[in-house]
Amino acid sequence: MNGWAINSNTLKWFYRQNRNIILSYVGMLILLTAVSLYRPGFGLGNPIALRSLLLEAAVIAIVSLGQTLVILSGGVDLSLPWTFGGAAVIMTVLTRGQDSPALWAIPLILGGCFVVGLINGSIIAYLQVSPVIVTLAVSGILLGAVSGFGIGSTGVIYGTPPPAIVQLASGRWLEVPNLVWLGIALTIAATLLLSFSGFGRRLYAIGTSQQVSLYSGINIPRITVIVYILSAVLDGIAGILVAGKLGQAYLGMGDQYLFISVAAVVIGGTSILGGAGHFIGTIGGALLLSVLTAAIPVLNLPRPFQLIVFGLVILLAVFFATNQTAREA
Amino acid sequence: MADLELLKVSKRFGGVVALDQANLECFAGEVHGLVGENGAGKSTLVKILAGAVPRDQGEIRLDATPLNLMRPDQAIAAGISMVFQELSLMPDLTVAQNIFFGHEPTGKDRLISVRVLRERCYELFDEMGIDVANPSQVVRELSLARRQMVEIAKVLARNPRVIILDEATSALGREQAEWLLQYSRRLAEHGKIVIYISHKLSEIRQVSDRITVFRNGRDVGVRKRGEATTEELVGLILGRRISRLYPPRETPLGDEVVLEVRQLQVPPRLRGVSFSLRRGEILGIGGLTGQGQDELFRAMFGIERGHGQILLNGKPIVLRSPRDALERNFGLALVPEDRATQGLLLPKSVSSNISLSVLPSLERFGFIQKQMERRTVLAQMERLGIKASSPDAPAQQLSGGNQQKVVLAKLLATAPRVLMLFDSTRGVDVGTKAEIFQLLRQLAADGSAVLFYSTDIEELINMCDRILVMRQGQIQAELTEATRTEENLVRASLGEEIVTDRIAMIPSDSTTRVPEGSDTEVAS
Amino acid sequence: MSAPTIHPDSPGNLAPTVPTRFRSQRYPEGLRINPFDLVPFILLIGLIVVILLIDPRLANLGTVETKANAALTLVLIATGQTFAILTGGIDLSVGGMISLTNSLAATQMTSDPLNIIFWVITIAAIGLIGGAINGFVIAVMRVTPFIATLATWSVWSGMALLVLESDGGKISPPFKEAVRTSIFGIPGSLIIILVLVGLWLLFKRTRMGTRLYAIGSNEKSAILSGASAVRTKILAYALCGFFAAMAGLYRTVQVGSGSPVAGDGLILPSVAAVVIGGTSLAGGRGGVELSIVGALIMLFINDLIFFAGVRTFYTPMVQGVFLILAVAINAYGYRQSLKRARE
Repeated sequence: MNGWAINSNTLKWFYRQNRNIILSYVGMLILLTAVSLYRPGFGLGNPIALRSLLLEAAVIAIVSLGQTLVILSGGVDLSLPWTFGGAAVIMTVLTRGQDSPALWAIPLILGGCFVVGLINGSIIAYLQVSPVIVTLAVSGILLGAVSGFGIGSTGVIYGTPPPAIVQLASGRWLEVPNLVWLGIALTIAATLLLSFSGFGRRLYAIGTSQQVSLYSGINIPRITVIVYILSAVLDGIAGILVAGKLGQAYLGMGDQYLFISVAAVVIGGTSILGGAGHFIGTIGGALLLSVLTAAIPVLNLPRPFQLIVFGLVILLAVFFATNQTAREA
Repeated sequence: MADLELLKVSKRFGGVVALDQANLECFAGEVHGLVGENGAGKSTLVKILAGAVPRDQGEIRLDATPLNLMRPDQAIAAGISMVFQELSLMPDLTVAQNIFFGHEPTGKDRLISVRVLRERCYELFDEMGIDVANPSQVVRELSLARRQMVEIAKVLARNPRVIILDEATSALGREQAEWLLQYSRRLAEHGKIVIYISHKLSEIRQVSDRITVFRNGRDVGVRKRGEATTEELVGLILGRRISRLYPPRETPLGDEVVLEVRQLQVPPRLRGVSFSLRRGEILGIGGLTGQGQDELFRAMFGIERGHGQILLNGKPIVLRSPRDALERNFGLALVPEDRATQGLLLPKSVSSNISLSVLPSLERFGFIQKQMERRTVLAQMERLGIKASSPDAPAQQLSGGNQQKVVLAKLLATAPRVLMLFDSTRGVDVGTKAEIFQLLRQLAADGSAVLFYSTDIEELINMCDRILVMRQGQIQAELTEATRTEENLVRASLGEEIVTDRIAMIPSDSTTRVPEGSDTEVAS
Repeated sequence: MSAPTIHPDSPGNLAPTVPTRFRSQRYPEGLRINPFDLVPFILLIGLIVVILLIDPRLANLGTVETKANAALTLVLIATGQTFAILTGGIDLSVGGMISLTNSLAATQMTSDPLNIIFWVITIAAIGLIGGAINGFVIAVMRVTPFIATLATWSVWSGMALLVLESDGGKISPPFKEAVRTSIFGIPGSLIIILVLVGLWLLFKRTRMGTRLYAIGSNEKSAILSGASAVRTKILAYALCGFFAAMAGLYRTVQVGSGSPVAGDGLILPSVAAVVIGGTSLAGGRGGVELSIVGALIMLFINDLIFFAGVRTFYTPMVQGVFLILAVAINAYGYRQSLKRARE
């Protein structure tokens, strides 16, 4: 392509490159419009509702950033529920609702997440074990360790995270929730990382073909380990923030986010096999999921139907998102 | 009326036209050769015939009955069976299971007996008249040559009406290739239609009754046996004349030793080789396949660890990974055997592929300098003459020859001290090959050293200053300017003494035009 | 070269000519067992030995019955999961299917023999059809198995909630009797397990069985060789759904009641059992007999943890370690076999 002239050719090219990502946003808009028509005040035309939709989407996006990176590398991070929930619970337990312990507790927790990611990435890279198994097993080990040391038990709700965190997670700046700002900041960071940095280039290479990356001199273990570390730490941060937003923490907090994070990534056009996709797509997926989860109660469906509808819509969304890559295969 | 007709067949992949109203006519009882450059359409056409690729337009008729071949099982049911270039084997299944896949002999209880399967395999091998492989062995444990034989056996097991052989000899040894040529003739004698695709012109001319030439997605000419010279065929294939395939050495060879290998071993197959490589030299590695050449190159690129020493400019070095090897200080670059699975990120752009190995040099504070990258990429594309719609086009859109050039560009961008090529001209059309050889000469003249492994005897003799023939994991013989003849190469490969008597030799001519009867490789 | 001869029975013809003098090389017939393939069996035997050493009183038929009864659920679901994983996929919806059939059996089954038979057949059908839907979504709609089955899990779970709002229901006594009977002293559950293994070993030798492995090994090659990926995958996932449904049905006998979330905790153990047994997640290698071994290994590990007096909190931890070890050993063995290639 010569020059930067914006003409129909450039637009066509842009569309073809990013078709999957664009589809997720379009899907979200369609869903939003449809439900807004059915139930006025749901979204369109109601700034307060829109804000809460955006907030939920931001939470999903923050949680899904780590998963996006891992899936791009060709793997998946099934330890999300445990790093997420574990970080939240340990934080509330260690800080007991006070701000000052947080100064050492949070870095400690994130350090723990760092170690988890390090273990995940190392086993995957050096022992060549499937990421599904490793992240699953490691997190199971973690769960046992955390429970065994008496720091937390399943099912128990631990109250009061430090006020600073609560303020951070629930507060607003310029009428926009802090978490949305964080989401925006992370999007910028992710875009810089994926589209502009050498690390991003290598990540895409590894996700496309490990063997070719090896023959081209890419340091596969280093990238792999870094990616899983990033994922674990980001999950921990997300857990802490969500605990702040909810005002409480319990070990099972993160379970639902596993499916949601993978769904957001895949609906956003990222190939589950790795090597293609972008965080911007995940945002689109997060938005769609946010609208979806908000729409289901609005349609006044009893819980059983919620699950059914949820499953069906996800199926359709993924069908349209993956159909492209599948067809090209 | 021909027995098999393909009429006005067209096929497009995305924006690329693979076939443009192509035609093909074959008769029962003939071996029909298909030749043409990479991307000329022959492979696509036969894949359409085998049901592996659905056609966009056109008709296919067998015995005047139109066939709708949208899926492979429809083609198989019609009696059409194909040996695929990339092979169609299931690696976790046994040889026997692969060969009889889909039509396994079952008893009344609908169960397959392993013993019966074995017996049928041996019956088939007896019929074929050649050893293939152990029927009980799992295919992923087989060498490439044996796998290709299994693929061939698999096709023959179906006793099809139409047999398509797409580069079926590419990995085979000499004897096996000879066998296939003869067997193809025999199949034709029994009334089959045999379609034979090869980039080895001598093979094609030896075995075919008629030859159809493809260029740019259409058939451009049909010649009968004995009607066309090799030069004429090459002319049809390229649409132009080629003046020189192997450029001669222009600068004299110095003495400075750049790389030395001492007793390099990679058990079990590389038993110990020692040699030295001089600056500006093109050193050839020859011999039959599987004699340790693979291990040698892998050890020299850091993929495998071996015993022994590798010295660079006199200093011993340790290579723990290809990353080590490519580092500026070392400068060892390998162009791998299989560009699809080892050389290229096919869905990614040409630009991303070319810059893949030099990312550190394009980074500042971790970010890629896009302008610098563009400059580097464009420079490499021009230097190698890479033809693509744009540097951002995905690599899978390019023809095989251009794809190989992209792999080369990626490694040349690292400005290597030693460039190693492992059978890198396989499946590359003659036009691209000439360009690659020209490039290698240039590299050597500029001071790099080249380590060149090829299964093509003519290439080795004409391009290399010396040739090390490997056998059973060791160097069997070293052929220098005085002794590098085709005869000696074959002798050494088989473990026999080489001929050093000057009078008995025919001097090698490195300014070879494409001569009559030579094993000139053309397309794929 | 001598002319090739045609075997008199071979279909369609090369005209028979002079009998060939060529006899191809015969390779030694012996069974070539990769030592790494034996690890699961050795591990299982080792575990049994250790347990018996700890408590020799356990070496009696009563224990066998208890163990078989306890194992059957996991064995059934791991069997089904094997089919999905062999094709290179995975089935996460088994949890939902178990919840659904478990809830159905606990609420709809009465003591009337006709009713029992009706529901057993219906539940089997639900499993088959649900699984077939999975297969359709995966093979025809080309949605990746991970997401597809996660979505259907959601749908089946919702249906389970429709049937049964919260834990409750009861088991039909005659049905429980029937399942818990022993034939010639061999407990019913053990018979079922043995029959499963037997049927599987037969299935492995059919053309469809070969096709299953082929699709998992290299789908592209299998299609080029004439197999139908769609048909094979739909069958594989249908079978997986069937076994999950049966597992849910059996669970009513084992636990005595129903729960709309009965299956959620069984999804990951089903995958773990398959993987520990040695079947590859990539597909093409492994088998039901291995998964059953894997399921038994997991159960005996749990027993050992219990014996060691370790709190059950640590169970997932130990299982996790075993899981990684098992897969790492498997991966290593696989890489070794690849190195033997290129001869």
